Amino acid sequence: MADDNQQHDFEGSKRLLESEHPSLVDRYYQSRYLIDSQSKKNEDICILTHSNRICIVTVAEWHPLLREKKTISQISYDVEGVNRMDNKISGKGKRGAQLLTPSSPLCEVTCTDGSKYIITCGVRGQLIEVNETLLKSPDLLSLKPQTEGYIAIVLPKLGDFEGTTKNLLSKDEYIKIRSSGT
Amino acid sequence: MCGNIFSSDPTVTKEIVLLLTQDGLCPRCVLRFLGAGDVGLFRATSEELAQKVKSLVDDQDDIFSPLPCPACLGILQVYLEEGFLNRVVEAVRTSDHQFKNFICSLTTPVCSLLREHAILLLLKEKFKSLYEHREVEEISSVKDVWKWRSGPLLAAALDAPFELKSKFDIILNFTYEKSDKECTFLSYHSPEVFRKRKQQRSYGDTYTRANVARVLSKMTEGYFKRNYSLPKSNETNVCLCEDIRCVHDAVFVAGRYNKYSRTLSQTPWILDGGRKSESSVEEEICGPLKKKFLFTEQRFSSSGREDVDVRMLGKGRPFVVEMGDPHRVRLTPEDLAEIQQEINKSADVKVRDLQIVEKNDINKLKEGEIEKTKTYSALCWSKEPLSQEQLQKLQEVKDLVIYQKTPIRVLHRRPLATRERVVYSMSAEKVDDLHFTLNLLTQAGTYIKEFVHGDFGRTTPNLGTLTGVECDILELDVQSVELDWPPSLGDT
Repeated sequence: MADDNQQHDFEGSKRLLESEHPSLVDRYYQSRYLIDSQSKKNEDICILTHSNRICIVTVAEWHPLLREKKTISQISYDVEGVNRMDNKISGKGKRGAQLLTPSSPLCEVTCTDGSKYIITCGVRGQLIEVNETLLKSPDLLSLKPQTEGYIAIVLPKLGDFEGTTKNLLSKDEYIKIRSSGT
Repeated sequence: MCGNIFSSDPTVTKEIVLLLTQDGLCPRCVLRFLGAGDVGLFRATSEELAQKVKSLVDDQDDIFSPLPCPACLGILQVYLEEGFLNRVVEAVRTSDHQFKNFICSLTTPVCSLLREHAILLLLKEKFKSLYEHREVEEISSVKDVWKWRSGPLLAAALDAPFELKSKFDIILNFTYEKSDKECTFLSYHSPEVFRKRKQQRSYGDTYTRANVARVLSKMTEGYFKRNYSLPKSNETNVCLCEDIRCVHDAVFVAGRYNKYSRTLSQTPWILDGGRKSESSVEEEICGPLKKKFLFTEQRFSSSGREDVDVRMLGKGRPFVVEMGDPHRVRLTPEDLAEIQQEINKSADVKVRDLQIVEKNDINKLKEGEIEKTKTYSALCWSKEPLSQEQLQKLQEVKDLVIYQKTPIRVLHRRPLATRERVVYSMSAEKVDDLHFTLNLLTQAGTYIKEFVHGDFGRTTPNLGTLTGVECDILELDVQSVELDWPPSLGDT
């Protein structure tokens, strides 16, 4: 049989090794942004969207939590009368999921300096899961805001993905706005 | 003379015959209701049987009506004549199937159940002692009598034996358009049994043999007699057989495949009306198979699957193709070797151990998917260089239990769950400062990519937590699927 094929396809791999490494987020997700969430200045959220329409809500680097290098003491998913930990879904259709709108609160972040921030959803869809690791390790949010420190995973309804993401800014647009010093 | 019929008294027999022929029953149906069940008897021609029945009534002439029989609706009359049987033979020849023996399957109109029931009740009423305890199962069925007569004739014309366990079925669909109407009175008796669906899926959907038989068994004789009477014979009260279909049982072919392309999907990948990947493993294998087996439908199963961008190396992944209604079935191992060679002309897909297997063997495939281990080789990247010690430490990991939440990349179509899996062993070789090859032996169903990059921390432990360095996966190859099936044919 074709034994030469059993080794790594050398030419292809060589190219891979020599090029710059795009991260997992760069390869599979598009970063979209919401600035001044809930009209709170600088409280930007970054939504990572996958080609299968799943949205991962994360805190953007410009947000005071990260920009001012705050130390987080606790994160709670029980916020404004709704407990996100109560979310129980079943089946492929994600029955029973809490329905979220762009202004739905996801969690409350408390810092050692007493400041508190509410992170809102930014998109419309079903709540799939919140990042429970943040309960025990809230510092993950500051260390890895775009990966292990994600806030929640949301699934927009089939057909609603375009509608709910069209108001979000693309990375280029966002960089333009934020670097012009506003 | 007529074999064992219910009546042993010729006078009584004569009365029964006269009663039945008065209602227009044909010779074969008269014999059926007399209790005849001898296959040899029913091999005779229509003329011979008419003579036999006439002899039971002192050779009276003109006892038989020229109109369609109300009991069999013509199935045991015109549909046993040379004209129709020639039509059947012609249909078989046109369908161009290869077969070594055959069976015939008949579907008959549901109202024939009512007809049989009515005639039996009539006989119970007029000949109580003989028929009081007779069940409808004791009367030779229309289907059986049809097959007893036509079987040998078709076998001679097709030069192939009529065999009860044959894989080649000649399906005759006898329809009678007034059948549903005749059954409506049943829905007044038992409306809950015959719920009308919003959309009738097909003709005869509301009244099926099963639910009609069930209602008849619960209905009193009095109610039946008050609400149903055997329709009068006339020329139009006859079945139609517009549909003669020939189908051969599916044939199963198994083998192992290798996939050398990182842009080929396993099964056809079509999204929103457009193809996402030209061809697929399934099509590369089924194309050459179809040219030889001439099947109409295909179903491709394999022991697990790999992603589009993952190669399948080593001895390959076991698969089975179910070929529906193949028109050619007499293929030898040499023919299969030729098909294998044809498939192997493709650069992207190679196949080995191609062989015909039994239907039950598909279970072995699925066994492999759930139980067997798999080995992989992954080209990985790390954010910082990993020392020899760190790589060595990976080698010491044995039977590591990991917890994988449903990967985000499939979360839109799979339920959210946490899967416990085992990474049995690993080894790593440095490629350059930021790259290394990771070999793993894992439990079936482990998501390797997510084990390497961690999937936002939703797979733990992962390579990142084990080495303390952020890792990512560039390329993945499946090295082996540990399933000892299908049996090796010694292909190189």
